[in-house]
Amino acid sequence: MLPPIPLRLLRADVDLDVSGPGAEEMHRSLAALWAGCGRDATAPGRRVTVRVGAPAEPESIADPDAERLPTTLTHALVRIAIESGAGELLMLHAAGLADPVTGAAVACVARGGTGKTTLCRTLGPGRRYLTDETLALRRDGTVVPFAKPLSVRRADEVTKDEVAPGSLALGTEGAAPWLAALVLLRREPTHVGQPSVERLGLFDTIVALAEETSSLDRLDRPLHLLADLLDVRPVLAVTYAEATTLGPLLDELIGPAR
Amino acid sequence: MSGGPLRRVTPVDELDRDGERLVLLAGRVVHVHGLGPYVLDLLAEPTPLAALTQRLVEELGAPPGQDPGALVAAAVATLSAEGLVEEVSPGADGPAAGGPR
Repeated sequence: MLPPIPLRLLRADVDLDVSGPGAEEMHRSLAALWAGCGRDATAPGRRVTVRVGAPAEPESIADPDAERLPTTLTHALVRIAIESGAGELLMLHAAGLADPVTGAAVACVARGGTGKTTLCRTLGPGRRYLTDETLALRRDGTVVPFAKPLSVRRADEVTKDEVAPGSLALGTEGAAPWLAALVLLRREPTHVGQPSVERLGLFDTIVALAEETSSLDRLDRPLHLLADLLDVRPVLAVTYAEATTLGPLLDELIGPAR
Repeated sequence: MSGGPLRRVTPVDELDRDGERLVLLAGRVVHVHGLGPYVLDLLAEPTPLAALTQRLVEELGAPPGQDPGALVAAAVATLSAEGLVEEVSPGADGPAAGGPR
């Protein structure tokens, strides 16, 4: 019997039970992939079983393809994380990186498939990786890390591989992160040269951000929360082509990589 | 719109800044400006279009050289298209519905 893998997914405590054929190898692999979301298992969490093959019980995540199972699991655990934060956390579709010493964090908001993971891989080394998918904020502007495995698209643009942050030289420890700046990212492959940067007004920012949130309307006075958070922080709309060109901007917003 | 009383749809949240307003409906934010915020405030209670126009003229004054009724109707049409204002359906609860209690 393999020990459960204890995880904290935003506000949800989950214990992964790995079973089925090849369970030992899958257990090892999933424990490494999700190490950034590990928790001290002082109390049991919600039990989620993971297996190669058909689902064995209602609360189980299964895929007959062992290679695809980690991605299937990521989708399921992201859903659990988002459900757990609904009504409590402001959850943005954003990549998050922070300075590991000061905790200053940047939220890079972007639609799915438009560069969040690439940004983390490119500019994350030497910084703290917070998430490549869902950046969760408390009302006081502190960040709840969700250092899930990075979902890296293959060249076919469809299949994803789950990759542990550590294997991409991304740290997951550091000072408690807090939102220092927010960037609305738009990747335009035809954009030439340095990123174009525009400061947005509060209302334009909120209208754009609202489309890139989860469960916004379940928060208490969500527009006021957004205004409180954004009024006192730099908010930039940035158009770029290559993630490397965003380096100087991140240096300016949260400090250089260490 | 068939001429019945109008009222605003209850939002999840709204935020005012410099005479403009953001309104959050389920999963959607709408930026309201111009006459829009005034209209929304007055439509907290079901109000026919003519009465709404009259109250706006009292509050803001008559627009020089323009038909206030047409301006208010246009503002209401915009708000209605955004899902922020609705016509009170006959028999619906409320003082303007006129149905038996």
